[in-house]
Amino acid sequence: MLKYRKTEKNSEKTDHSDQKPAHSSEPVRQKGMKGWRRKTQEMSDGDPEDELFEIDMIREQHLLTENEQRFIAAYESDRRRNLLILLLSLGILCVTVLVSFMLGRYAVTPVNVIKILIGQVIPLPQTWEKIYETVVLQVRLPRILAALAVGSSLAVAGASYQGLFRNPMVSPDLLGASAGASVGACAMMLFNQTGAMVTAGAFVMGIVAVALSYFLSKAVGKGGNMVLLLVLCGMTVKTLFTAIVSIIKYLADTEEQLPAITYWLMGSIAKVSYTDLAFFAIPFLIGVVPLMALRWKLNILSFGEDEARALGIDVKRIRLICIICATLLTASVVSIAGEIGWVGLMIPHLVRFMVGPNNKKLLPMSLIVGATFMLIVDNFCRTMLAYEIPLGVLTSLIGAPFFIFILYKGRSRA
Amino acid sequence: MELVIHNASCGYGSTPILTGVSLTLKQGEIVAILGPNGIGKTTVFRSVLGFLPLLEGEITLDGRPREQLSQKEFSRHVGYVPQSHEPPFPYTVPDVVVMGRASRLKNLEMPGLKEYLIVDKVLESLEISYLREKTYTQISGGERQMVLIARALAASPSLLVMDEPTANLDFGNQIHVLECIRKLSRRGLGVLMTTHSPDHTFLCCDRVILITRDKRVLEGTVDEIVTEENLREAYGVDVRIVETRSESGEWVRSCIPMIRV
Repeated sequence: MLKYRKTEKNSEKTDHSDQKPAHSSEPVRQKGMKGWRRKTQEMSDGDPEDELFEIDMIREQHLLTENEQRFIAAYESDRRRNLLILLLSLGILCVTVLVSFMLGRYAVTPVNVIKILIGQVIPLPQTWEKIYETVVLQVRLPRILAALAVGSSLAVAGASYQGLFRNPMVSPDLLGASAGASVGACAMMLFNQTGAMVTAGAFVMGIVAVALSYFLSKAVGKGGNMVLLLVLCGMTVKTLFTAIVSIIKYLADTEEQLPAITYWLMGSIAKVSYTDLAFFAIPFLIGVVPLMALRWKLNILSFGEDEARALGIDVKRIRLICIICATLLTASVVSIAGEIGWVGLMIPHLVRFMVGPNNKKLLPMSLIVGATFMLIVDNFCRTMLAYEIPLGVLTSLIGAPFFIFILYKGRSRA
Repeated sequence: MELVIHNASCGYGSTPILTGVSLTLKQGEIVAILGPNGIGKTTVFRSVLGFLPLLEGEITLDGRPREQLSQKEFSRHVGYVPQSHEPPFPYTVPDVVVMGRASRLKNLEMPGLKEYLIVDKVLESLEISYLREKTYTQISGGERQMVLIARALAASPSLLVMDEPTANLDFGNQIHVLECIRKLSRRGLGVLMTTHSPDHTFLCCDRVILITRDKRVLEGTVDEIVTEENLREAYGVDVRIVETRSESGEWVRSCIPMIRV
């Protein structure tokens, strides 16, 4: 039972503690005692958690009421189910990775794939042909890693953006990351740069575009509706940068530069190298780790700025951290893979359909499902036809009908 | 726990919308802010909650100035019940209520078994345990209001600030929510709420702040403030206050507006 009225004894206690700067309704924790203790009624000072011991301790001593026992049982079965879903999707991801190694012009058997991979860590007698090792390690492995990184980054960034901007229709290039990166990459290609310079140019301009959106919205609005202003400024910056891309295309030499630019804009991970991956690893970690740590707070942010603040959340700081992290992810994806649409928008929807909208589950699952989806699509890209299909094209081709399917399914279930 | 607003000027930027606002909110007391549309009730509210800096005056919580308290600390003691609106994602009711625990969790801590157990107890105490399995977006407006109250209570605050708790509710649900507010104040919570209905102040309030059309701020007990004369001044409408006897023999008052056309 909850008791909010303070007893006589307690209000006295509160008065005393007024003289000290101590926070009077901070739950009383007894020194030397681990965790919470279930208090007797007259000791309860309003916080329901005061009534709870460390739950395991109460459970050991059979102090739980019947309702509490029932609740804990339900909670734990729920948690087991979530864990099962997580493990299952990890399993599917592993199988997809294995299959991806086998697909392609050189068919490699699963046993050989595993042997070659393990052989990199511990020395094994070489029972496979050298050519297979080259195919697995030099051709397929970087591409598979790139697909995993790109898919998971876009999905996590998308899920975070949707929570941040309180809108399920938001994709991670909302603030102009993709358009900015395209300008950077195209400009580099216009000046006949290749490889690392294109990647670097894309990355820098992607960040510049988002920063521009952010600071424009700060300059335009003084304490107004930040979310709406950010979206509007993002749209403006996006339009501006898309126009610049058009100018660059117009200026480009039609024999060599224009095809290269066009192909880059369609998105592909066919030429991703280990150097690219090493470059990608840093922003990936800097982006994903804080988002994962703050993911539950995204739930609260999606209720709006005022409510989140009243619930004790430092809205401005958390929003800024999340925008920076999600932007870092998006910009680095665009810089190694070009523009890849749909994934950031669609995967969070698919995952919400699977595990519900709670970001605590949504973000980790988006990471796994995004990686799996991208890997499958990339496998289609490289094996379906005799020549490569650009990844960005296929994600939209597969993604759009799939998205309608999810919406349809979701509707009939609700 | 006591929230004191002393001679505050509230407003956006540097132009005050309302000046000379003073009020004291004690535990176990229900205070209503009454006034016409657009007069600055919401502005006062936002200032009390710390969303807007005060232009003048001060707000203290148990004698400590508002600025010295972190948002998190303030949130532990003062719960906020906003007007219900639809969130963009269909969270479950416990997932919404557990957000109230945010101010009691460590910075990167996420709610676990203990938090959800507390949520379950709060739902039980408000007699809305049947909403446990429901989705927040698919329940009625009245139920949603109760869930938001539960969310505020999950932080176990001493004071509650409620923004028009009866807005957009049908007649029955309005009374249901008022009953709930009264129960909470009997348990020792202090409640500050805005309302558009003077009748509600008769039903459950101890003190009233009435803001008139020409921005005079009147403060006092319900009997002192909610009078025919003051209501006429505040809203520009003729009002009669009538009394009737309830089943238990208590006198209950009510306002009847006079339509002139």
